[in-house]
Amino acid sequence: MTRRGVSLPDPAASARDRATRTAELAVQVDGLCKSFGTNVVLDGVDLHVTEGQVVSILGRSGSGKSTLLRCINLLEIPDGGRVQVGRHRAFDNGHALRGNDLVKLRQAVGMVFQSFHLFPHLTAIENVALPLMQLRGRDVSKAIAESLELLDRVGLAEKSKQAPHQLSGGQQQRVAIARALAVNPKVLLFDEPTSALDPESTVDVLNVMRNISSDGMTMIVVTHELSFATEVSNRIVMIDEGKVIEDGSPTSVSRSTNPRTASFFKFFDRGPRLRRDDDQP
Amino acid sequence: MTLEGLGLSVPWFDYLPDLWAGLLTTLKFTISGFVGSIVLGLVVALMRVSRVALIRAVASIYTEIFKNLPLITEIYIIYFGLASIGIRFGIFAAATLSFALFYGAYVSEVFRGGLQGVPPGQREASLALGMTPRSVTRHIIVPQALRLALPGAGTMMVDLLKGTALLVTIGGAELMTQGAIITSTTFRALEVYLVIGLIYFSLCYPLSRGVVRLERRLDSGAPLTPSRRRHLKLVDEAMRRRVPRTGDVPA
Ligand SMILES: Nc1ncnc2c1ncn2[C@@H]1O[C@H](COP(=O)(O)OP(=O)(O)OP(=O)(O)O)[C@@H](O)[C@H]1O
Ligand SMILES: [Mg+2]
Repeated sequence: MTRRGVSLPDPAASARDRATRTAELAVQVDGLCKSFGTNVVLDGVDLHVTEGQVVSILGRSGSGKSTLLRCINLLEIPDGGRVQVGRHRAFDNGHALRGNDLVKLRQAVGMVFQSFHLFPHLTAIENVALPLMQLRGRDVSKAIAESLELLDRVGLAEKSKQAPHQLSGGQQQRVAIARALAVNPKVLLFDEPTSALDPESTVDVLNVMRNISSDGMTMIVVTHELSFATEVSNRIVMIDEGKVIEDGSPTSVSRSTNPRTASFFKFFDRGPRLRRDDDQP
Repeated sequence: MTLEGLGLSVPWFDYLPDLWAGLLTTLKFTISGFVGSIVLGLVVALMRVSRVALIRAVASIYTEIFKNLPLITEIYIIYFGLASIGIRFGIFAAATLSFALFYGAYVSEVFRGGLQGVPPGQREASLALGMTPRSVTRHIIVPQALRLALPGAGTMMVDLLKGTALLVTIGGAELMTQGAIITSTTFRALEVYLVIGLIYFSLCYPLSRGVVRLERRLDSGAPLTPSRRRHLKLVDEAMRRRVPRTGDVPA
């Protein structure tokens, strides 16, 4: 974050400390199964995420990463297994939360999408203010003041009155992150948040994510950014053919002798770097 | 300069009050028809995406019938036809009903297109925020669908304004009827209808241009509703009060 003139302690280290201090589980996924027709996408996935942990999910295209995230906030209804977020039993014993309970679960779980999905009929700040007014009962002026702070946090207060299509991809994604934060979620899910972005915008978005993680947010991040997975997250989970094939610290997973893991790491070894100051002149 | 000096032989000054009354009547029919068709069209469009099959069926039968009937036939059925079985409408009621039913079918198609044109990601993202399905429809889907429907609704309104001329057949007292009356006393069909045409044009042209301009303004994030206008004013105030941070990225 040297770019914004703010220097921060190593977030990965502080998040690791927190994770060991309080071993509260933020997300608990057990034996999760999901098929589309005959296509078995998730085949008994276990994933326990403690509060403050930042987990990167890696895996080939079509391996079920998005489906896993979408089963956590019930955008997709699992076929079997258990999903619990904090005290919300999202899916248990074939029973999925509905109605008001479902709404409460989703408010506890923020989601950031690859293609942003900002509301195009509202300005940047209204995108953030809407959930504050609709979901957290803020009156207009309070919502606007808080939205401005949130946009400030992602470095975009000056762009408050721009319509989404007047912003670059990276700026739109940062507004989307601010919008997700507005609901005050306990967990943030990111589904390839930088895959639609150019390298420069990617750095901006990853920096924002790094900041959020250092504030203690629990994050599950589907990503192809090895730099993020290894430098910011404190745990890597690899999914292949509907199963977890690796689960451990970035160092241990990147040294894995599993040929599938090794080939994956080799393939993705050239991505944009997280820190721009490391770049060649 | 006299009217004759302009090559005009109809004593237009004498007819000004009639033309003015005709113009107002045309606008009255346009507005009542527009309001009626928008209300009906929105209801029918929402019915067409309902989860209840029966509601969908009723809505689509209505749409199909009125999309495939000539407007003039419909006006005759409502004004002359129903009168023959004892259901009598005044000209205003008959006209409003005809326009609302006819253009309502059209609006419902335009608006349904708008509803379906909102990308599914919008609903998904708002549900993921924890909004209720009802609130998603009201705050996210409908406003976007209305925007998408705007060009179609604008075209429809211009079409409706021109369509009021059909009321000449039931003596609607609008512009076209005034033209017919003036022609019947002056026998100057070409001159009269050219002038009437000019008046229609000068009503319709700014209207279609206005719709295009409105679309552009909405695209750049301009507010359409008073409440959004107020919100954006509050944003301006909040931004003025805000102390810029040292690490700010320049705008
Ligand atoms: N709604 C759906 N209906 C049918 N099949 C689906 C649906 N969603 C996902 N799938 C299938 O499930 C499999 C896993 O999809 P998923 O999107 O979870 O993969 P992914 O790991 O996120 O891939 P990518 O890296 O390309 O985003 C794919 O084969 C996909 O075609
Ligand atoms: Mg995916």
